[in-house]
This record gives sequence, structure tokens and C-alpha cells, in this order.
Amino acid sequence: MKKTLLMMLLVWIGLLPVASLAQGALSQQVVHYQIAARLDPQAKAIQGSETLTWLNNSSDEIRELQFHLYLNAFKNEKSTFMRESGGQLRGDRAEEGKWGYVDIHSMKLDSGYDLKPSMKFLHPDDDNADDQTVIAVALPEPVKPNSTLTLKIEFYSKLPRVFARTGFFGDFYMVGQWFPKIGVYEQAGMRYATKGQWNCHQFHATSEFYADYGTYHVDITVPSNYVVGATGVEQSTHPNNDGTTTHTFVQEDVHDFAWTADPTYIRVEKIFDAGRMVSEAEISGVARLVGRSPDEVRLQNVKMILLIHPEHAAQADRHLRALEYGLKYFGLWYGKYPYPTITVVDPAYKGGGAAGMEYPTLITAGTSWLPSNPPSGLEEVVIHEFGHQYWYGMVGSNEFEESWLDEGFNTYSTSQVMDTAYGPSSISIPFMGIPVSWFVSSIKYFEDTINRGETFGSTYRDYIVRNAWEYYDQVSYGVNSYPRTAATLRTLQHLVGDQTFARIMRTYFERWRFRHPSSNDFRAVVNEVAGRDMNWFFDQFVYSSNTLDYSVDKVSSEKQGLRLGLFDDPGGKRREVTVDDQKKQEKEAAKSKKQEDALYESEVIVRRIGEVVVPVDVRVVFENGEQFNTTFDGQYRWTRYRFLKPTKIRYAEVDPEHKLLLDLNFTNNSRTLAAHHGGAVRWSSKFMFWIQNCLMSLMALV
Amino acid sequence: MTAWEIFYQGRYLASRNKKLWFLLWLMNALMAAVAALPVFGILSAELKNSLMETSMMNRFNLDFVSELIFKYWDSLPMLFMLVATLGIVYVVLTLLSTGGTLAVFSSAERRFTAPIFFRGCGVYFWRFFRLLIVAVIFYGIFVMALNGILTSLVDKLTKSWTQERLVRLVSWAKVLGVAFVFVVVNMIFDYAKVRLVVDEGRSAVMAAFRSIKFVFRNFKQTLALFLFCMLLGLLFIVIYNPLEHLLPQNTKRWIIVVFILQQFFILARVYVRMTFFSSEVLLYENLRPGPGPAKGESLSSPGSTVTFSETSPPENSPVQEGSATDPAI
Repeated sequence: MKKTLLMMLLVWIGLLPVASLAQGALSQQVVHYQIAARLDPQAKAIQGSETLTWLNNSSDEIRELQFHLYLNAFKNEKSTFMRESGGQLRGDRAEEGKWGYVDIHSMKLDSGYDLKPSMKFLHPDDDNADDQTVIAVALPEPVKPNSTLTLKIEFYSKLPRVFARTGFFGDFYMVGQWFPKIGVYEQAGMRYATKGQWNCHQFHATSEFYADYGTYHVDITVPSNYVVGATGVEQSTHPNNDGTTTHTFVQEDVHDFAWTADPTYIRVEKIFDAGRMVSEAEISGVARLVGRSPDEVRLQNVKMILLIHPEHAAQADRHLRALEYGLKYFGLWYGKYPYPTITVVDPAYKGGGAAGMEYPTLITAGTSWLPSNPPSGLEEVVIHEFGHQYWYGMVGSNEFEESWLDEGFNTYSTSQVMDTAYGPSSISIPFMGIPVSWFVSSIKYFEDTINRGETFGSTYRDYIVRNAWEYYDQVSYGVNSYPRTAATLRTLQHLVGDQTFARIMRTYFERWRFRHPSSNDFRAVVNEVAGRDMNWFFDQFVYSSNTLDYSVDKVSSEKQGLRLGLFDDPGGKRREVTVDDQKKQEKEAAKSKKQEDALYESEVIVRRIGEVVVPVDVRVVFENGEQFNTTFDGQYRWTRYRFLKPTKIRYAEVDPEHKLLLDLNFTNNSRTLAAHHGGAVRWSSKFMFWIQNCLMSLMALV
Repeated sequence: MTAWEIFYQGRYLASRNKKLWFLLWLMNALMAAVAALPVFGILSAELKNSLMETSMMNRFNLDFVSELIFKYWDSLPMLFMLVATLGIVYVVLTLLSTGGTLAVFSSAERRFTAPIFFRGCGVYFWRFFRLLIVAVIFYGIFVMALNGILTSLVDKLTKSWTQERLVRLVSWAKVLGVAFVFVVVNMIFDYAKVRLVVDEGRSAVMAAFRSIKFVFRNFKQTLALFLFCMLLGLLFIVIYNPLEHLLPQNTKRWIIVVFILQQFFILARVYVRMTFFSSEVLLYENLRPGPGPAKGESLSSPGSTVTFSETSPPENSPVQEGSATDPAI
């Protein structure tokens, strides 16, 4: 009896965290992590102790658990990550002798049963026996549906020199992917699962993460002079007797936890004041656009925390201003940011490997001592990484398998925020660390242009949707996951209309926040909100590598004149028109001042050069200002339009508003009747001038 | 004479040789036109019947440029090859014209005449060609290698530095150091050319080593003269750049105006190069060891008649072949 009571008590204690957190929680709270981490600055390592309570929210009995041990990606050159990346990522190289790894010292059930003997490494993606980024452990008893399991794990994480989002440089620590993290169990019907299975991929060069939502309660012990930032809200700081301080951070409804520490950080705090940042007019405008009530659109205050290095302190306002724009526009367009804090980390110089990364409620930016004038990469990276709080953070798509759903959606959203908040950006190239744009006016652009231009580089080797490690190469992964998706979504926006698209994105976010959607779920939302079948769009733009190119192939206007041959008049008489008759008429027409009476036979041929079939607007403009507008369905390769009018064609244009952003060639979208050479002369003379200057410089050397 | 006076006189010499000025500009413009023609052909073919032409008249349209790069990606190496070939041809032409230019500036009248110029082109070509080979070795050793060594040292020194500001300052100091060495090497080979012409030397190696001695023995003057000429070039850049940005280029008329302005800028660069040569000849003649100023000329101030004394002609006429004292390499 005593034993039974004890068992009941243990089960109750095990359920307690999940049950208590479920009240008012935004997510299903599959995991509850209680972690104690102690930084060893000498060893550049973390001694960790983790208590994980995991809820089996499937209808299956689970006999095995799978975990990510991401840090083992940096253990040696034989890991899948190192093989795929060649030891370099985003311009950083893995440094010899500064490897990273995670060792599990013990893994026990709360009953004391030791799981470690059953631990084995898995390599589900590439069968690389040397990869140690995924483990499986066998359970003595299966976990029943809707019941929980508690594990205690002792681990030791050795950080690499900062590389691929995590590590140290000097006293700077960016600690991400550092603890044993359980995979996602997908029961049949969830996303693409046809049977219950773990979704726990190896760490790849071109992929990020996928995990379940829950609560993190983490005690971080560091030397007392360190400034610490982390996912979630700092609940307390507790100085210890050994010169260290323990910082406790807690956050619900997140799927990861990262932290940073550096004694030189300057901590800047500012409240995102929703009432000040967003006017009532903006709220009602957006409410109308997205079809929600003003109260549903209204934002809440958020504490913004910036951890910035001293030599960038003058740029604190730029970081915070960009963050405010992110909070404002993402919040208005998709839904309010629900967490109380957001922390921006300015990585250390030479800690660039940690720059531009997102974790729940904690993002890393990236700037330099001498940044370009705003808006520049500084603003863009803050807004982009903040955007991941939505596309990855709250809408928890699988970044391994469908990177477009986070990176691409976020590139689209970032572009919209950048253009709305800052207007056009300037191209800025640094020369010896000094932005050239400080001295010469540079070319300005809107984000659509850059997204479209970058898309050409892929030459369409892949479909947009693909496992991140299975693209043709890293460039193809990058192009398809980021700019091509952004340009595709923008094209979709143009096709369904701004209002419908705003409602699509809002509905998708609202429906799938704190859940794990697939591409099909987004497609379903599009079809539902647009009120029509848009599968043709996805088939051609997302699940295809076909190219899109429409052109105006021909434009002609000829004055109508006499035709040669025999003609019967209404009276039955037959008359022959000869060449002499033609010449005579031309002479008379030349003498006549009534040129406006002349009729012109005009012809326009519009052609579909690419494989993608999509209805496209056609506009023909005549010399007298008259316009003819129509739509070419693109089903056949080309179509011809004929006109008989007392005026010549000035030009014809297909897709005049450039709705189809993925059209490979905007130049052939239009055709004028008269040829012009001014543009060619302007830029070829400029090119000649550049060459002249190069030759003059060469002269000085010879 | 001070370096400033030499520079002043050199500038005057350059400006009064307008035919030479024009000839050097023409050489530059024709070569660049050869490279620009295929670019014009491509742009014209792409734009002439497109509304994109209007856009490109008004501004630099990134959409068009990215399309163009994508479309002609495979042809880009050919364009680079063309430019590189032109570069090689231009080097040859520069070797020729430098001989002619220095012959003009070191002649008795210091005035451009076709015979002096073209004979100078021919006579000094191979000497300058040999000197170019020596110069490449010098640039390789003193500039490239020094840059490599300094870069490696800076990288090692700053490897664990955590402040970008300090690393940048050290890097800039390194660049300044390398640039200074570059300037010195450049001066040395300019004076080596002057020496080959004025002293009728034939050995490129000897000329190079003797001009090292010359440059370092008269370092203040040679460096000051270099800086004066460089500042003159910078002055033209400072005048030209804002002017070009002020002018609209969205009509044919304005395109022509800007093109003319650009050509004036190139003329100014040619003028700076001529000033370099003329003042270096004057300085060398003024400071060279031996029988004092070679031509004993006295240049009056600009605007008045320039007179030259013919009483002490150079020992060897600059265009006389076979009278050198240095053995050929």
C-alpha cells in the first residue's frame, strides 16, 4: 500500500509541471526542461544537469526516445556537418584544436533506471556511421499515450571556437544547441508521417532545427563579472560564495533555449511602447486589411534588451529602432508578439559565426565598427532574426525538411518590413572596413529587386521544397530557401491581391502558431482564404524547377493601302489594282494633309518562353494615347492581337505591373515600335569611361 | 630649384605640349572604345525596343543589370578576356608612348614634334620593356611580398584581439606602409625611365639600381614632387566627381555633355601623367650627379616665351641610338 501510494505520488509529481503549465499556456507543452548549467571559462565548457519531463501526446505507445546532440557536429571532420560544409560556414572556418562536443555522463529515468547502456548513435539521413548528432535510447517500459516520462541527464558540453551559430571567442560565449534535446515524435497523420515515428534529423550544414514546445527553466552559473542574456525572462540572480552568480531564466511556449555571456556587454533596455509606436489609424487600417477587429490587431508592450559590445555602443539606437519596427509590423500583420521580452545580442568581433541567428526570444545581430548608413545590413539582420520569432519560433515548421516555410517566409516578411519602415536601401560595399557609401551616392533598391536578382543565380536546379541537405548545393539551398521563396510569395500576393494575401498570412500564422505545419497546410490556407483552387500555383512555382518568361515578340503598324489583284465591286464589275495604282495612291496620300485619316494595320505577338503557365496582363498603347488591355492565359505558347486603327502602336507590354516577380526577363516584357539607343549610349559611354580610367591607372604602373 | 618650382615648370611643360596631350588621350580613348563597342552592341540589342530603355536612361536599373548578368553569364569571361587583351596592348602602347613622351621632355626644345616623339617611341621601347620586367620583379618582391609578410604578421598579432577598432587601425597602418613602398618603387622606375632617356642608358638593371640611389639620395625632393603631382590628380577628382553627380543624364543632350566632361577628366589625368614625366625629367636633370643641369635651360614663367640655351646640349642626344655608356642587360 505504501508502495502504491508512493508510486501515485511520483506520478502526480511527474505530471505536475505539465498540468500546471497547461493552464493558460499557448502551446501543447510537450516538454518541460529544468536545466542547471555551469560555465567553466577555463575549459570553455558547460557542466550541465537536465531534468526533462516529456509528454507522449500521441496515441502510440513509445518504446524508444531520440535526442539531438548537436554539438557533436563540431567533434571532428567526419561528422555529417563537417563533411557537408567542408569545415566552413558563412565565411567562418572551424578551427583545428578547438572542437566542440557533448558527452552524456548519465541518463536515467526518475525511477533510477539507467538508459545509457542502451544508448546508440543513429544516422537516419546519410548513414554516416561517424556522425554522433542523434542518439536513441530504449525504454524498459513503453510510454503510454498522454502520459509523461521524466529523465535526468548529466552532460558536459565543450564549446567550439565560435562557429556555425555557437561557441566562444575570448570571453564571449554564444551557447546554442548545447544540451541533449529530445526529437519530435510525429504520430501518423501529423505532417507527412504515415505511421508513428521520431523526427530527429542529424545536424547538417544547410539546415536548422525542429523541436517541440514546452517550458524551459534554466539556472546558468557564470563568473559574477559576466553579463548574461538568455531565452525567456530572468527570474532571479543569486550570487554564490565561489565568485559566481546563478541567473535563472524561465520561458513557456518555446521550443529551444540559448544563452550568451560576456563580461564586456553593455546592457541596454527599452520598452516597446505599443501605444506610442502604433497609432489607432494604423490599427484600424490593418484590422480592415486582415479582416480582424482592432482589438485582435492591437499590440502589447515588450521589454527589449540589447547586449552590445562597447565599440558598437553608439549603434544601440539603430538596433533598438530596427527591433521596434520588427515588433510593430510583424505584430500588426500576423499577430502580436506574445512573450514579455526579446533580447538582441551583438556578437563579439570575430564572433561572426554566432551572428544572424535566431532562438526563441533571443536573437543575434551583427554589425561592424564602421557600419553603413541606415538602412543597412545591421537593420536587416535585426528585423530578419526577429522575424524568425514568427516563422520558426511560433509557427514551428520543420526547418530540416521545409526550410522555405521559415527562411523564405521570413525573407518575404523582412523585405516588406524593410521597405515599409525604411524605404529603399542602398548598396554598400566596404573598402578596408569603410563603407564606400559614406563618400559616394550608391544605387538604391527595393527588396523585391534583390530577391528577384538573387533568384537567377540558382538557375532553377531544385524545387523550392526539399530536404535542406538534399539540394543541388549550398547555393541552391540558399537561393530556394530565401529569395526564391520571397519572390514566389510576392508573386502570389500580386495574383490574389494585397488584401487576400494579408489575410492568408494572418490566418496561416493564427492557425499554426505553436504547432508544426507542413507546406500542405499553408497551401490549404491559401486555397481556403483565396476562395479558389491555387494548387496550380504551388505545382508550378513551389514543386517545380520550371522557368517563367513572357515576352512581346512582335509589334508592327503598317499603313493600310491598296492591295494588288482583282477585286469585284458591289455592282459586279471586276477591277484590277496594279503596282501603278498603288504608287499613285501613295503619292496622293503624301500630298494630302489628312494623314490622320490613314488607317494602320497593327499586330502584336505575345509569347510564353518559359514553362510556367500563368495568366498574364497584356497592354497595348497607341500613339494617340488609347490603350488596349487584356489577359493572355498562356495556355498555348503564343497569341496574336490585330488592330485596325487610325493610329500606330507606341508599345505593347506584357505584365506591365511586374506582378510576376519570377519572370526571368523583364526587358523582353515590352516592345516599342520605334527603336531608342539613349540608354545603351549612356551606359556604354560610362563603361568606356571606367575602362579609360583603368587604362590610365595601368599607365601609371608601366 | 625646389620641388615646387620643378613641379610648377613641369606642369607648364605639360600644358604647352598639347599635341602630345591629345595623342595620349586619343590612344586611351580608342583603346577603351574598342572595349565599349561590344558592350554598346549588347545594350543596344537588349534595350532598343524595350521600355527598359527609358528606365535605363533615367537610372541604373538593377532589374535589367541582374537579368543581363544572368543572360550573358557564360559570355562574361570573353568580355574579361577582351579587356585583359586590351590591357596588354595598352601596356605595349604605353611603353612606346612613354619613350616618345620622355624624349619630347628631354629634347632641347622640350616641344612635341612628330619625329622626336616617334623616334623616341621606337628607340626606347626595348629598354623600357626590359625595365618593365625588372619592375615586375621589384613590385613582386617589395610590394606583393611585403604585403604578404605584413598581412601574415598583422593576422598573427591581432588573432586574439577582440576589438575591431584596433585591428582596423593596425590594418590601415599596414596598408599605408605598403602604399608608401609602392610609391617609392613607382618613383624608382619612373626615374629609371628618365635616366634611360636623359643619360642614354641601355641597361635596365643599372638604370633601376642607379635610380634607387638617386631617389634615396634626393628623397625629400623626389617624394615632394610625387606628392605634388598626386595632389594635382586628387584635385581633378574632387572637381569632377560632384560635377558628374550634379548633372542629369536622362536626355541625349545631357549624355553628350557628361561624355564630354568625362573626356575632360581623362584629359586631366593624361595631363597629370605628363606632369609627372616632365617634372621628373627636370628634377633629374637638376639633381643628377655630374655636369649639372644638362641643358642649362631656363624656363620663364607660364604665359611668356620659353627660352632654352643650346650652349650645353646633352652629351648624347636622347634619340641617338648606340651612344650609351651602360651595357645592355
